[in-house]
Amino acid sequence: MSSVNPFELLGLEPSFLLKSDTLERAHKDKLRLTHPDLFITDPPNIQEKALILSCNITDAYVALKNPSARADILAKMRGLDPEHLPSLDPHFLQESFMWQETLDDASLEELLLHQKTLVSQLGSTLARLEDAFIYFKNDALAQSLGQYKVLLRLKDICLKQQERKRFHAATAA
Amino acid sequence: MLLQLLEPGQSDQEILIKNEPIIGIDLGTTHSLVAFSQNQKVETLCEDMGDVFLPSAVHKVEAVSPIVGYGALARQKEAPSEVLSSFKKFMGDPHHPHESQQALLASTHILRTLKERAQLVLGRPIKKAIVTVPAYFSESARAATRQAGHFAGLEIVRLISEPTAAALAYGLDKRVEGLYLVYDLGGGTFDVSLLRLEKEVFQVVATAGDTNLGGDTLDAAILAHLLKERVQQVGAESLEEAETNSLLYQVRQLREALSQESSIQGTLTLDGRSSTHTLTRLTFENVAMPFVERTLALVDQVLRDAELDPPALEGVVLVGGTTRTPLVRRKLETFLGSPALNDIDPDHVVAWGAALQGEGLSGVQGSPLLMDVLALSLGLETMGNAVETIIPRNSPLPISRTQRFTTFQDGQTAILIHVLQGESPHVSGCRSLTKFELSGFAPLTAGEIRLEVTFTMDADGLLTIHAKDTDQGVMKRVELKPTHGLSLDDMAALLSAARATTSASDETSAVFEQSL
Repeated sequence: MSSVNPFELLGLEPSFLLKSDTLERAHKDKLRLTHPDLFITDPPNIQEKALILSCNITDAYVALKNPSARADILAKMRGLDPEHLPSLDPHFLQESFMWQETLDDASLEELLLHQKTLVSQLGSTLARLEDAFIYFKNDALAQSLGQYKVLLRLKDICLKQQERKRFHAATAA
Repeated sequence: MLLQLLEPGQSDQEILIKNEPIIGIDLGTTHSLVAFSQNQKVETLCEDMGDVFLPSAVHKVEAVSPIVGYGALARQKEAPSEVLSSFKKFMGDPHHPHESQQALLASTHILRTLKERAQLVLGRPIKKAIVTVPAYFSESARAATRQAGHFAGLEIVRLISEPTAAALAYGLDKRVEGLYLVYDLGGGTFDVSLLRLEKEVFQVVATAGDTNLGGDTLDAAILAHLLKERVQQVGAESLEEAETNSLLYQVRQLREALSQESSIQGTLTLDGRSSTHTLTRLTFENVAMPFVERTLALVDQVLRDAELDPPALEGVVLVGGTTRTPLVRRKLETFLGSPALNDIDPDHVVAWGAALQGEGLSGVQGSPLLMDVLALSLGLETMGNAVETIIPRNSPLPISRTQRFTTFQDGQTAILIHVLQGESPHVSGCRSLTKFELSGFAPLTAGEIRLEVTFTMDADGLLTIHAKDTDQGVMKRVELKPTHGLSLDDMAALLSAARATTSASDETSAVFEQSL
């Protein structure tokens, strides 16, 4: 990946609340200028540049599309190291352990409800992250970032469990 | 009179270079076509009032000037072992090195024949082409297609996927913005792609397919069914591969006729032994149903990959002769709940799209931008024959990924990198693209050597690899082009074979040697 900030490369305002269609549009609008097809009749060195630039644009898009990677990029912009976040609030930790157990035993219907709850918790965490980012509250940013990652992982587990349940239902039928 | 004038500062020469004609070629499993577009009017090219189809069949593929097309098909009965057909599925297949070399040579002959046809019909030299490939073609198959182009003296300016070409032919770029599904059931392959059209940009959103499912598969199933009847009429036969091919060809004609009739009578003849059969549409549909259902499962997969339900589709496009089968259309339309576009001949639609894109890229007028996705995930072999995905399928193209590597043992002076394509977590379930060694490291402690390898998939879905040794600030840069399982000897043999058969290939050979 290029060293340029992905938000900057795509001409986007750095934000935790980036909407997916805004991202899609920015990606496409940039590629409209750099796509190698536009340079097919140009000399090879120009074609090579178009390819590299297009790759950088797509790499930036892919990075921003992944919620966890996007959060890391924003945290780094505030000088935080996402690999070494402070330890999580014990209450939150306990809660997340309980979540894990709940998801392990849930039925398909329950999983769908849990997914909704997790999505709404992710939403409020994102709002807290955005606030901390805008007002340079780095401690709050680090704490919320850790929580955000745990919630993303729980949502992932929830989706995987659903898939497993559906698969079992299909093979039983 | 209307005078055409240049823009100030632009030379004639520039315009001439820009306007170099680009033909569109559909390099198909059963037959191939060439089309050309001028002022957005596209035409399939044929010689002397002949057929537009060039059967993808070559007689004596290693000969200096082999017989290509109908002539080769005609020899299939008397000398079946000398005729190569349905070879497309072996393009760049490292598991079948002999077949893939033959496929490469055969494709070269097909491309050269089509190039010569275009030169004859258009009355001008042709050097450039857009060639279509199944969306689901692996990197090695795409690279082999490009090589065939080089051998045939054609610069393939772009490989575009067949479904995208079909969408272009339908002028979908001028229609309502939205999502379009392209269902392509050809002779040998099945592809389904979901395209998003938005402001002159065509984006492949998701794609899925099966490289071993098509009209040929249906024919094999029908033949298996008919052979049970035949054995009672002519007795037991042990069929050679070439004889089976001849029977399959006869079955195909029966199947195609059955698209118009509800029941058909026909004979299967081999070495003068004939058997007569009645095939009803009902029987045919029972035999074909599992294959049609397999295609619908892939349609479903694509819609799920894109997290969409059928009602969100703006239109459905049919491609490939096998979509003329009433069962296929009926099941698909029921499944999606919407009728399919079919006013362009499904056998021509891909070549037309390629020709239109060729005109667009030749710079005469703008063309919609085609943004493709990677059809099969790119991965690397890790410990225990496992595959680690580095670029997941359906990622937009072009794309690159930089991977860091380090040594596992003290004193290790080389590492082996094995690049694969496919969805399986195991090496055996993926297609091997290339294996290469990075060597010559100083014997240091494990983990001290640091390497950065960048994998780039270009707009055609072709791979280039750059390796950079960041050890102690020393930077080495290597560029690697995969050789797709072909040994150097194989490549040299291919090269000399191509030389023997190509008159004006000095330039193309040079290009090829560079990549060795």
